[in-house]
Amino acid sequence: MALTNPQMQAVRDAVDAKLVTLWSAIQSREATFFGSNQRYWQGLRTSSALPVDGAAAVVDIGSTAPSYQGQPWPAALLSQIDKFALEITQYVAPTGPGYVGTISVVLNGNLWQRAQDSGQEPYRTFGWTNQGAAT
Amino acid sequence: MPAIVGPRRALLNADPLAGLRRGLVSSWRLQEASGVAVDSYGTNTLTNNNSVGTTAGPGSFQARSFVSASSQYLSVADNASLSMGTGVPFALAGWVKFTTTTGNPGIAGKWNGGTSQREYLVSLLSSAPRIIADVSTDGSSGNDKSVGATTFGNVTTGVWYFVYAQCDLTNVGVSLNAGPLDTTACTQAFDGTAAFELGAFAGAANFLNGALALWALWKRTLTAAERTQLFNGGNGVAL
Repeated sequence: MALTNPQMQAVRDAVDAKLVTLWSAIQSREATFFGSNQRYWQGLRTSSALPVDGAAAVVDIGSTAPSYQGQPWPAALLSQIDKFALEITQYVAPTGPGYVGTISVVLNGNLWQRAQDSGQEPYRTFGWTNQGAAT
Repeated sequence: MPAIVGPRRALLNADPLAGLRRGLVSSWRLQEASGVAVDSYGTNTLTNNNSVGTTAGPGSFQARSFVSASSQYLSVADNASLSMGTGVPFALAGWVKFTTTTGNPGIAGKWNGGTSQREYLVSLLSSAPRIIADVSTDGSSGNDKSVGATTFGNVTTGVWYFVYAQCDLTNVGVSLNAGPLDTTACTQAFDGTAAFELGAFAGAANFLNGALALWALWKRTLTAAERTQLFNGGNGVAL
């Protein structure tokens, strides 16, 4: 049965609440990583299949990491993933480095995403957006 | 021996590539070993996302290498110089080599289907696999004018291809290795807000597993002779 608008809002709100603590931990992780590597850390999407309609995410990224980086998600961060999938990308812009976290969930068959930038390209931040049919 | 002066002197100094720079918006030679991809002509230097690397390119050139599993691509935010819209013909050209041909990867363009910000895109249709050009007249998928390089045919891994795509306000066209254009009707490209990307589209999807070199964007179409000049017998030229 399809979720009502309030039910979809409740899922997004629950994700937002979880992110408050998680994003702070990611910022700390990124600051430490940057200090050692002079670039930010990349985390591949935490779930191969996106969580649907508020169900718990199946976090199956394990120790898989980008080939150039070789450092996977720390277990302490993965344990905070709940009803969403999270991907962290890093970049080196003409004005300096940064990173972006993108949250993904599927609600009523549509892909919903929000993103948070930390760096030189704030245009990468956007609030919850219905990206159309999830494929 | 008398010094060469006047018209003969000017002729000797003529830049053989000057004509190709007419209407040029940006030129990304992609010769850097790492970091950003410098726009050697305009102001659209590309951000390096997730450590795009380097590899050997066509002819004697270098290229930037992309690993799809690492979500690597180059990008710059939307701005007026990269946007087309009503009454603006344009062309996009450069070199691509595939490590794998799966995943319908983006090669070059401004295209975000998820938010109906489709503008122009060169990508690989993996089911063939064949290079295709898409232009949306209004940002929607319903008005996505798509044409494949059917005259050239399918592509394979490990080979450099020179790709040319254009919209002349009548058709969108695509050709490989300076061959004939395949076309379909298209009157304009939507002026949207999608970022310009090399090696992906929609930001976080459809990543290229391969390499790119010598890409450029014009706000005009190129003649067949100019496309041949860019192809340069398979060696490419740097604008």
